[in-house]
Amino acid sequence: MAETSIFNLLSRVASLDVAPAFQPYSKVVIHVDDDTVVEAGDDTGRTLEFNDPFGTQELAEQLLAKLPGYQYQPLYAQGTLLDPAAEIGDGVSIKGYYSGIYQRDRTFGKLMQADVAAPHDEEINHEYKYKSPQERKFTREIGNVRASLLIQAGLIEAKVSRESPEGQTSFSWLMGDTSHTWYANGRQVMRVNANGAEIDGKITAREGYIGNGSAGFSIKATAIYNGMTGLNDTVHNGIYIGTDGVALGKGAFKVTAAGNVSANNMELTGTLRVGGSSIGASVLRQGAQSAYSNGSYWTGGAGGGYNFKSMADNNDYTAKYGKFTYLTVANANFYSYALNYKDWNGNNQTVYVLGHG
Amino acid sequence: MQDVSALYRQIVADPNHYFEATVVIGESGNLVTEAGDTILFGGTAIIVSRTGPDSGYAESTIFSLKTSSRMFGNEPEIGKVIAQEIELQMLQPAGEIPPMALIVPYVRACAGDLRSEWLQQGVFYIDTRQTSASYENLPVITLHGFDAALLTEQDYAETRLDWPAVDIDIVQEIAATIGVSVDSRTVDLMTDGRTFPLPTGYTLREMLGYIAAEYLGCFIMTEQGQLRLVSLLDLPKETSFLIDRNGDYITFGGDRIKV
Repeated sequence: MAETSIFNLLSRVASLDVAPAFQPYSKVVIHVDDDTVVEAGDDTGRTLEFNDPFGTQELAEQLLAKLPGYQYQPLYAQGTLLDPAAEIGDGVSIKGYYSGIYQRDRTFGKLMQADVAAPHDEEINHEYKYKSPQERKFTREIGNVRASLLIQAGLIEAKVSRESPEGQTSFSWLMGDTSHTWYANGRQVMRVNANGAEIDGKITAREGYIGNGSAGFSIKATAIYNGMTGLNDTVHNGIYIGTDGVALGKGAFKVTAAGNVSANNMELTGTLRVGGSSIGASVLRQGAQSAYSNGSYWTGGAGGGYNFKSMADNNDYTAKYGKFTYLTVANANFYSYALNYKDWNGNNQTVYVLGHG
Repeated sequence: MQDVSALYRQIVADPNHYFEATVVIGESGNLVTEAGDTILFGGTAIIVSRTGPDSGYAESTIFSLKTSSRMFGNEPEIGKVIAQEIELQMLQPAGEIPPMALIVPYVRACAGDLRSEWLQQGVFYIDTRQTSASYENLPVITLHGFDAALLTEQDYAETRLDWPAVDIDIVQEIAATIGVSVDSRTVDLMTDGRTFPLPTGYTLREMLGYIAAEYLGCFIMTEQGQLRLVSLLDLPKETSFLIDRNGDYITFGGDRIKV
């Protein structure tokens, strides 16, 4: 029966590359799945890691218990005269170094030369556990990004997650037989099914269309409109909302970006404020009636009062009531005269009386 | 180490020993001359079995023959199923080489008139082939192949085991599925009796890897074409016995001499 054996090659080797034996293993880490890792041991030696969906804490501890005393001796020997009867896993002793045959490249011929190795990566066997800032950054950027793709009957799920000192982020989608759903950090942001799409979040689009395929809202970079094609469109009925203004119904109502309002009709049920002052509906109505009946109009004046203007000559102007704080009269039949008198102290006083001639 | 005869050990101990190689391709072929020409009988090629090394292609028709096996890469790893590779460059054989045909190389030790038994050096399946006319206008074919480990790249679709099943039973069933047997050392090694649930969604190769990891090893295919678990802990302890110039132990009355 074949058995595991030791081959002594003495010095029959073209070249030999040997590194110091690895530290003994002190820790076993089993990656059970993307989210589950079981481990046993400490960081005083090397760590043996592997994937096993059936791994348990008990298994990690059992394997760790088998590892004390095991030390891996890296070596790489070229051009050895290794017996063709040797097998992978056999021991080999070369120039006083002893290890296992874990790699073997053979060239068949009269000498049956072979390159044998217990391979190693010189960069891995660091005794001084130092990582440069670049290595740490690389570990953070690359090592903590995980991705998974799950394909089952009736379900496909893909997920990418990243763990970093700033926190954990993830993005995933899940496609079933009735819907397709996207998630960001575990929260649903979009769902598409036979009824359409539901989006919970910001939508950004250069152009687009909302409607039934033949009529609806057009979305442009500076406007959204339906029917009307511009702010000053007086041909098409509809609505226009743009950066230059808002318009409705062939322009029957329009507000420009400068704040100018035009409307065919307007009914106000509350208070109209002009220049910071309120004008009640009754005042507007009476003032408008008075101004209209006298064929003229009034405008705002200094001191919060009002000036009549452009009144024609030789006409009579009447008002039902009013109050003047200042009254300026030009070429009118108003006159004033002074009334002089003495007050109780004997001092002369004068009052001016406005009279009508 | 493969089983070898006393004659083999005797020849290898001879400082003037050398090795001969031959290679068998396919299950059968045409009888050829030493130069590789088909021997005709009444105009008809003679079909011969190629199941043994004595009917294989001799070194005179072989330009190069290399095999490569790597149990792991840059540091000790466990839980893998490793395929050995072969690359064979030779005169184009007269017969048709069927797709994915077997390639089985052999080696024997020679010294003077002595010839040892043939030692099988793996069982491979052709993966790619390339033909060129680069040797005195004769067609030269280059074959590249892998051993049966790659046959485990299939779903664990059928089983006759009762699940959860014991590890060695799973290994035996996987070996039977790919048409190989299990190396006896593997049976001796797998005594923990670990049980596994039905591996739904995993390939045979993945399942073998998970079992191998729990024994701190990897699965390989032996030179005899058997499935074998090699554990890191299976390495024999270093010894300091007296050896001869070839590295073989010197015995006294059958016992090795410790120094």
